[in-house]
Amino acid sequence: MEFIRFCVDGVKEIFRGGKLYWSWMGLLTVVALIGASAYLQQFQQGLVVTGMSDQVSWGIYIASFTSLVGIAAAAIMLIIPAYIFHDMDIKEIVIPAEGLAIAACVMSMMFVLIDLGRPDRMWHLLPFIGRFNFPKSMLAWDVLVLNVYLFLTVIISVYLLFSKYKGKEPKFSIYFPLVILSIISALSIHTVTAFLFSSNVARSFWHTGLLAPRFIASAFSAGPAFFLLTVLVMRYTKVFPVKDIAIKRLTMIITIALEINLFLLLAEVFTEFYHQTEHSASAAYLFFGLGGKTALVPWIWSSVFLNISALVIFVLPLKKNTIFLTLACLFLVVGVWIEKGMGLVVPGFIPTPLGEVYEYSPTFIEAQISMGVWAIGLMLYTILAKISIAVNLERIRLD
Amino acid sequence: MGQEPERPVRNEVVVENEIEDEDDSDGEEEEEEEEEGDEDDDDEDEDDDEAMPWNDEDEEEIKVFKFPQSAELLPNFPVFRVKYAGFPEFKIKGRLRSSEYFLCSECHDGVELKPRPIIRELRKEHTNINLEHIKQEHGTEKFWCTICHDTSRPDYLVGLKKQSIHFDQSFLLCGQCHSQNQKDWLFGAHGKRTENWNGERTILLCTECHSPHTPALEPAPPNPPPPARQGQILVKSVHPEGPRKTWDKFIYSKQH
Amino acid sequence: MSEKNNPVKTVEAPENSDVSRRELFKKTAIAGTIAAAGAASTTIAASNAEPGGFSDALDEFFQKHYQEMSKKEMKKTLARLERKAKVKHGKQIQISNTPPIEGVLFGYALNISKCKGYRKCVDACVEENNQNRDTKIQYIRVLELENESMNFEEADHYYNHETVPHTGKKYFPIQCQQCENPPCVTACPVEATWKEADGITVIDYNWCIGCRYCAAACPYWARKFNWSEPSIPEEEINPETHYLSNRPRMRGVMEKCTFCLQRTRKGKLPACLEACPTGARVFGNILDPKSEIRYVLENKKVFRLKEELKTEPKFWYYSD
Repeated sequence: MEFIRFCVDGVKEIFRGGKLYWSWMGLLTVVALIGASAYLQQFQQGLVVTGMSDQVSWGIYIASFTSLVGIAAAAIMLIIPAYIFHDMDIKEIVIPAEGLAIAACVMSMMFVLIDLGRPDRMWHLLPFIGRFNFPKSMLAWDVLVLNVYLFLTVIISVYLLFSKYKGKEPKFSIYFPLVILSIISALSIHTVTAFLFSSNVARSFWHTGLLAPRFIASAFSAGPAFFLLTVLVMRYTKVFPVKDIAIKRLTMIITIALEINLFLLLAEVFTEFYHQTEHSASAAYLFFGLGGKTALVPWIWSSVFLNISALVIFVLPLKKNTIFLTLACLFLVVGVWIEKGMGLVVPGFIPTPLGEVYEYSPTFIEAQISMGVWAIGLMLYTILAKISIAVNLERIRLD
Repeated sequence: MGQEPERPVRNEVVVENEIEDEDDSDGEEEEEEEEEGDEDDDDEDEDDDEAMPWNDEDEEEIKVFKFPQSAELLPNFPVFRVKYAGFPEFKIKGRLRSSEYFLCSECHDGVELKPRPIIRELRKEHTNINLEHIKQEHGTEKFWCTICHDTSRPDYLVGLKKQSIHFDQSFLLCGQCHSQNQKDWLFGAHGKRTENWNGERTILLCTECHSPHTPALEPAPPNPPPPARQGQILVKSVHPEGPRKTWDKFIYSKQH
Repeated sequence: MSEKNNPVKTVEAPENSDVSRRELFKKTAIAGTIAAAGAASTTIAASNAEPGGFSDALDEFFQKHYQEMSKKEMKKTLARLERKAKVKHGKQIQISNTPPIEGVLFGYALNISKCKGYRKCVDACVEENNQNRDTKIQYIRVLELENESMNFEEADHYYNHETVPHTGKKYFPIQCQQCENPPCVTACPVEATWKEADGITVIDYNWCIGCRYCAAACPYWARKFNWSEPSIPEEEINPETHYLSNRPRMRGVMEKCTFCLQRTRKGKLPACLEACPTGARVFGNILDPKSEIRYVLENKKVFRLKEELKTEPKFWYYSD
């Protein structure tokens, strides 16, 4: 009964908001609808409307999926201090972070779905009903851990919110095991997504043991950075008065993870280029172009530039300035999105295993669909964040 | 070309591969072969007694195989030797281009027009024949039509030991020099099998692919290159500046 | 002929109450799944105009995995697929499901000193295997390499000389290597691709979800995707098809070379071999010690592509 009231209040909260809120949601709806109509076109004509080919058979969809998995897992960087070390400053922003995790998880699943050639056969993936190639296929693992992580995150956030709604302290014996499980599955969505790539002997660019640590490091910098960005927006628009100390904590997490990520990237680049073997052709293509083809070169160098500028801001006292901090977060999110997405997925296919250099660039329809997915994800995040803020500020509660 | 019906059907020649009784039959068959050779020698003008690398008398490894009695190819079927044992049985897909093929004896019947075994430049007949095969390797002095064509029996080829060889057995003739290719062909690593991969083995004769007079395959235009998939444009990759050949790279790096 | 020599055994799915109960569970579970139902409605909506109408569309949606179909279900499925092909391509085709011949493991050898780069195999393959003419799928890629180099990155895939062979070049045709240890099979999340008893990796086109993970996993670039709805001119359709090989495909699924199993399981030779004007290709049963392919493997200097990956290809290259 109480739970139903909680749900009703939550839904009511969604429809309460100022001009800014409604115009934001309206904008997202428009973008989502454009994306939906583009997807309809793709559904009817097949993936021929995309820029993908037999040479480069994964494009911006899987690239977005890969980087979003990172953002999805970032929430645990807040859960660990909050619920393992009982850091009270972090605790108040944990639930919006969980909202981000849910939204990112949903988005990454949507990116996989739109990448499928036969989305109508999704049921073949269901264990027992279809034929789930578990434990052999890494993609099967990925489907599994993503679903488990999404499920756990939803359960935890609903439980924590509901407790707050009732005005009670959440029970340690209930949330602690869930939090532990959630931490494990957050790490595994990363690791498994990295394994999805690194398990391919055919693609030497991905076939490196460093991929999983790199994924985790980049996720732990870009994820919190994305979250910090939204927190700063919330503070600026005065919807949620976040304390400075929480932002400081987040900044510290981002800085450390970013340093580790760049170090791992450097190690990778060194190994690829010290002795340029045939196996470093993809890296050569990515950074300098190959056979006169250079489509990814501007992408990766802008990523390098963005990452390094973000690092400079984060290590210098500049970060105390909100504008610089916002800028650094933005740089980092975009930089890592390129590095993990276009800079990792696409060059794995170039050159092909037969040495052909065939380029990929997303088509307009692909871009529209991707924007649509982002719009839906942001809408979901806005809704979840709004509800959790309302509960946190005790705007809605059981009385 | 119009007189085809009179010709007996000789599309298939079965070559038996007798390896089981190699030891017993060896001596016996050799005699037969010598007899055959003697008969044919009478009409030959050319002398082939000089030592040629293929006149190798060391025949210890030789396995004997022969054509079955039933074959209506030759009145006195010869015995041939190849140096290899154990190749799978096969059937020859005979001269597919039989419409281009009319019997030599229709002109060279021994009465009106005798083949002239003199080395000379052909001016009226057979001018379309380009004897690249000989020119490239040996010069025209020693090799001439009659090395392979039998002057006494124009419808047959002739081996170096004066054995008559039917046109559908040309692998025996070619194999006298190209023994490695003959071996590969018998075992299936050269040439081409047709119809099936299993069961009765039918293979194409040498002359199906190689013109006997100009055996090297002619260069031909390739089929079109692979297209880009629908909706995409193919941009050919530009190879990086600099030398392409491996040794050029080495020379280049020495100079710089 | 081959069937006489090697008795053909049909593999049947056991039919008992357990299976049917499991099926019932499956059907209810599927019906209960909202996501699946949602997807079903979209398929049905999309296929309303398609042949056979609603019931065929429904049957196609719920079609079982090839290896799970009973003999009766298989017969029904093949009839439905033939019906659909008739409407879609305007031609009556036969879809068989000839099982592998016992005691046969197919192998292929290619003499690279014989290959002259005519690309006859490429087009013969397209004609035999009913590939999509719109997206121009080809299973065979012929690389032109410098005589002294084996570096694929310097290969020309798009050579177009007036005549081949071009001086100083060698030609290297690459198609599915039919790995004994295929990475694509491990990668597939739904077991839509597997290795048959005769060593051929096949795809159930009606089970593939089109994730293209196998394409990423393949070291030989052998897997091709149907980016659009396949279209083949009616007169170019090869009506002799096999469920696992050259039957008409649909958009959004993977396909690949199967060594023409619609032909080879009946004793015939692959289309690429038949088309080869130089006799560079040798095909056969590598378990048969008297076969030509075994002679090549035992007596020639053979090598395989990317052997270091331990994929154990059943495609060998050799030279004279």
